[in-house]
Amino acid sequence: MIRTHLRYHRPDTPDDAAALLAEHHGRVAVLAGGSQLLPRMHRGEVDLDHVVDLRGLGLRAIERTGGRVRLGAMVTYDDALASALLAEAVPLLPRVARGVTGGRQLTGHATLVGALCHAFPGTDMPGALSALGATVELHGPDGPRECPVDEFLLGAQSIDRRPGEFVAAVTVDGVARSGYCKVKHATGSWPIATASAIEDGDALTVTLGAVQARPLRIVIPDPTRSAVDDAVAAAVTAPWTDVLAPGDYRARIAPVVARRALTELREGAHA
Amino acid sequence: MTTTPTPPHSLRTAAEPDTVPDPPPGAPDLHETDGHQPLRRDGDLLLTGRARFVDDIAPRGLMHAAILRSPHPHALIRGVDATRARERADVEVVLTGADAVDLATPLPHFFEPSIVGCRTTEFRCLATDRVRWVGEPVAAVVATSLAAAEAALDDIVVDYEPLPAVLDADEALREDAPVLFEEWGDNRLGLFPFAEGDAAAKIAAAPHVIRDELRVGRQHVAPMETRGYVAEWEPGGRLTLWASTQNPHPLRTNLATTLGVPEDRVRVVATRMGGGFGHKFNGYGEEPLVCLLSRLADAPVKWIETRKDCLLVGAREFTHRFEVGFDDDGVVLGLSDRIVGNIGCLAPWGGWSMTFPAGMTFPGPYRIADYAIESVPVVTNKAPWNGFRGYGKEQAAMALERIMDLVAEHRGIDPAEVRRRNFIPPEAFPFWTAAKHLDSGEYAAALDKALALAGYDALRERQAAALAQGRHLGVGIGFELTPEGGDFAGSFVRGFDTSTVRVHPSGAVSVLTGVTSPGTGNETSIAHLVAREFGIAVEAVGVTQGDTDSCPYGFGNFTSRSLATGGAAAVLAARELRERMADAASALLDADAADFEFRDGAVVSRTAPETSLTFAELAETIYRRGLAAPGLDQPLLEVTRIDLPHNFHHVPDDQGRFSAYPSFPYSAHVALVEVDAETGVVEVLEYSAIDDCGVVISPGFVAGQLYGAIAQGIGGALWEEVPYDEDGAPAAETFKHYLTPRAPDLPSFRLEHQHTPSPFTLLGTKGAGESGVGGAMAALLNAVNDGLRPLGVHAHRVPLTPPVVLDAIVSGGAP
Amino acid sequence: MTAVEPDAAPERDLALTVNGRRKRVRIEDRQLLVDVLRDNLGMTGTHIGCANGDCGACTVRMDGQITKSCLVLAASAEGADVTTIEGYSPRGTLDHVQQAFWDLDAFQCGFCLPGHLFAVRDLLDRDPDPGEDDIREALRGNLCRCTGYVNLVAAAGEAARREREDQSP
Repeated sequence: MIRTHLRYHRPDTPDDAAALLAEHHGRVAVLAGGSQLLPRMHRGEVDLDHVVDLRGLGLRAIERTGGRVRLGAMVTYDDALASALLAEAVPLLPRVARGVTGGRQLTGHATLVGALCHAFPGTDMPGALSALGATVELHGPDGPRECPVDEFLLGAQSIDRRPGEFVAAVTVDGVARSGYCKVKHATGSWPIATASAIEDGDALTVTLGAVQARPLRIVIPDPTRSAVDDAVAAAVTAPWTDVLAPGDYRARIAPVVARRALTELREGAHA
Repeated sequence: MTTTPTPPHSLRTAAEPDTVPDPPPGAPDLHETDGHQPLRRDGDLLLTGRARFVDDIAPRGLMHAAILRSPHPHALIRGVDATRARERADVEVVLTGADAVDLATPLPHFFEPSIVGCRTTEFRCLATDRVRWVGEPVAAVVATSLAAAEAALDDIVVDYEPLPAVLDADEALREDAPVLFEEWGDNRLGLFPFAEGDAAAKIAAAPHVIRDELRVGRQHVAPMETRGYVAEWEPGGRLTLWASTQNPHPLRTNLATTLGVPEDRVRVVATRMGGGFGHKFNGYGEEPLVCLLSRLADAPVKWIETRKDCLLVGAREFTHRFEVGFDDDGVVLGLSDRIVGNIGCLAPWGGWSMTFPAGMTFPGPYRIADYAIESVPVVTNKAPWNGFRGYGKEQAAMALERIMDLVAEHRGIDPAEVRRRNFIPPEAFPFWTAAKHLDSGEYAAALDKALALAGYDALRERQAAALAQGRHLGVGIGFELTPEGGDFAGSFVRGFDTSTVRVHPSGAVSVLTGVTSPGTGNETSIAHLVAREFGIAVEAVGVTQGDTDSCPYGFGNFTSRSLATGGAAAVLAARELRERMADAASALLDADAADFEFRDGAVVSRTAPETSLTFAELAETIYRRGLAAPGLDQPLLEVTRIDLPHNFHHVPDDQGRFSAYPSFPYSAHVALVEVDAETGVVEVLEYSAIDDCGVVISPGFVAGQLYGAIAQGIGGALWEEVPYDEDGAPAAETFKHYLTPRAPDLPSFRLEHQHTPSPFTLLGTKGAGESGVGGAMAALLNAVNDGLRPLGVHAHRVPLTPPVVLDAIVSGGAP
Repeated sequence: MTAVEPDAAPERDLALTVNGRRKRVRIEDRQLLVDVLRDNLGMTGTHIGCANGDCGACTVRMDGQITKSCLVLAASAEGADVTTIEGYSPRGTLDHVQQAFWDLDAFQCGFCLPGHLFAVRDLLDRDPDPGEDDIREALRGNLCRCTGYVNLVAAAGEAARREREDQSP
């Protein structure tokens, strides 16, 4: 049971939300899907007095904005799987959502943006959104602010969110051609290493997730095996260690995961 | 050289019957299964959410307990200041270890180590002056809500003086290691040697010798329902404890001792259990603690184990260092294995004793005349063990089966053939080893059936074809001998049990039994057996378990013995009742008692079928006219029986051999895996098994037990581990760290049965329940190593997680 | 001794529909949906196995979506329509999934049943003829420690078969 004397807030406007977050700064969390936050509060790992629920703000749309695609903070994995727009414009996101642990009891509530904000290295979304060049749209007491995802993710469970701010949406590049690979121990395991391969014109990149504290975007000048291996090996300098796998394991499989994502990109197998 | 140990106990010196009595005339042939199996009892309650588990018990005025646990693996407690916690308005009781000393005696052990010649010590329900593992209970709070109780824990200040800790068993055995219990001088709890012949000489003289090591990491039971207790005292001083426990009667005895309450004033109700598997053997400090807290709060108190606390309890952390000598044909000439079990800290919970079967089970299904096994339980500053299905027997299966594969690889012989050359042949039974009197077995037949079921030859062809494409398939055999029904005189781990059968005037039948069900279905099977004796519908038979107020004293649920003991006792009681009822029918209907049969709800003369009474009429007549009508001399329609212990040999024979286990089911397993040589990820593709647990009463339930055991074995072989961090704390706190199998991780298992009856049990049954864990672990261990063969490496570290497998590949296979 | 009076935990009235009945309960803001169902409403068929969203024993259907009720703050569920295992099928009846689970011995201790029943129901509502892989995937959010999933998977397939048979003219 949650031990603290928690107060639940459900603002109706972004400004109200920002005002509540600012007022209780340091003792407040943003509640979206809740799948990461609530268990941690239940175990006493997070000690807060207020939660601000974004449910009242809408924020569940997936829409085109110019050449990009915008996903509201409350977009769930199931929403991503059901979206015709994503299937066509950013198939990487439904591809990633399909492999999320937790079952449909979770994927109907857990949000992509929530996973990004949690910024736990052993998850899919930070790497995938980094691969897509996501821009994070925050809303705070001073109004909206945009932040490139690579600057937003400061480190393991650390994000650039200023007092009073919450993430309202992310926008991503439309990337029709992508490949994804995730290695994990078993169905219930966190991802141990992920790779999102993106082809944008002539440029080929692989973004590794779960391998280091922050996603690693690697430009692949030459998709031959040895070139990929060398590029990845050079990029992985501080591999992440957790309960399930030591850093050296992640460093070893990082080139493999990268190559497999590139293979999927090349073969177009969004299975 | 090792010697055969003193047997676990030899209190009983009377001649022990070695065969079972013939059934009385007219009894159904229990060795015949009728193929009909009733649906699981109370299935509808479970399926509609109306079954009650311990956390569903909520007496009026219920309060909640939370427990403060040690953050240190080893420390002195210099003081506990609970002042601020006590000042909280929502806190009812704060209890420290020092407070509890005067309120409760030291805790009785589930299995007193000194019974088997081990060192021992005393434990309290809360630590007093020293903690020896992260998670050890130090203080407890009762509050009006769980949240308030948990919050108040932060207001208890414990002054610890950290001490050096030791987490690794090999390190704990070093002379300069920190010692957990100073009075012992070192960290050895004991030593269990099992030996015959002269293994060292045979190995030295053997043409081929392999020495190797196998390590198994710390694993955990992970029942879906954690432990929990709800205590309530009546004004007159009577205690009721609702408990998620496998042993309600021994728990009651221990509570009476610990709390100083006459045993008859304690009622333990074992609530419906959401999985036990050994985790819910009694002996935990929380059992008396919750009772004490309730007494102090003057209110009912509930404590439910958190998942994180549940994951504290360990098992299976073993190291094997083995040596095997064999001839050109792969026949084993001599075998030794020095087994070290890192049992964590000793505790009154009995899991440490898994180190006994870990050695005792050797040499498994193999005829090896010369072997020397030593199993050494070592204490460290990890949390204690409790039981885990397999109970150490899976260790012998893993080591022996790995050895068979290594011998096969060395000699270039198919691993199945090496096993055939080493099996105990069917004609050799009953078969003695140092600590087992094996009942019966057709081992080679079971293996051959498993190979056929798996399509073994085709698997080998697929493996070769896959390798040509650079894919690493592995085929693994696991053969498991599973000693079941263990009887340890001197403890409450006994090989017999008690059932009462009562026929009511309406013809309804009650069975009250001392065995309990953790969800295995034994209550359904017991009802089925008793209904069959009386020839009545199974629905007419009620089964009551787990309530010490109504059930006869029994030992509960462990070592796969519930049906063989409680079920057999119920059958014996029903037979005695049937004789009484046949006598009454004889007087009432003027026919020969031996002529009556009980079928279709009636008592019917075989020779004159029109001479009959319904079962209910007969029962009612006996109640209404007993002692008043001629021939109705025995109106008591209630009988309590124990089943007679069979095939126990507590007194060593002239060669020092003894056998604490009466029944020896076995199973043969074949697994197909694919090893991803680039990532170390193992995928389980196919699984086949043959099970032989003798006569089967409820085939569906036995199959269900096997399926579950195999899944647990696969999980243990591939994914399940609780690592410790450098601060001495367990690092697995959720199911995202402790990876039990999910449906997509497993294939459907192909399972078929062989039935070799036990000549020693009433029903011809052998234990069913644990068998399968070790076979699956062994099959997976061998399958992964088989997949790695083309790479020239071995992986001898279980679980074979992707980092372990890849490490073996990269490092060249040093374990 | 001076009793320290902690600030009272914030509370509110919560309106829910549970198993077709409208309920109004006084809750603390910090309560999870599973706590409210079990402690305030006495719906103890919803089980707490892990409180971490891993095991699925606390599964309910909420506004048509199967949901782990340990991952929902009750206060956020204002106005929700919740079905628990007690209301999974009309009282006194078993649906094809429940009956197939029973007939094929798909459970042992039964603690995990809410997750498995709701997940299979959810699957069959989307796909009347799932293959074994589909069933296993649909169960990925649940844990069972007793059955090895063999009979669970078979029972899900059997329930689908019986439902198709019912539907066919």
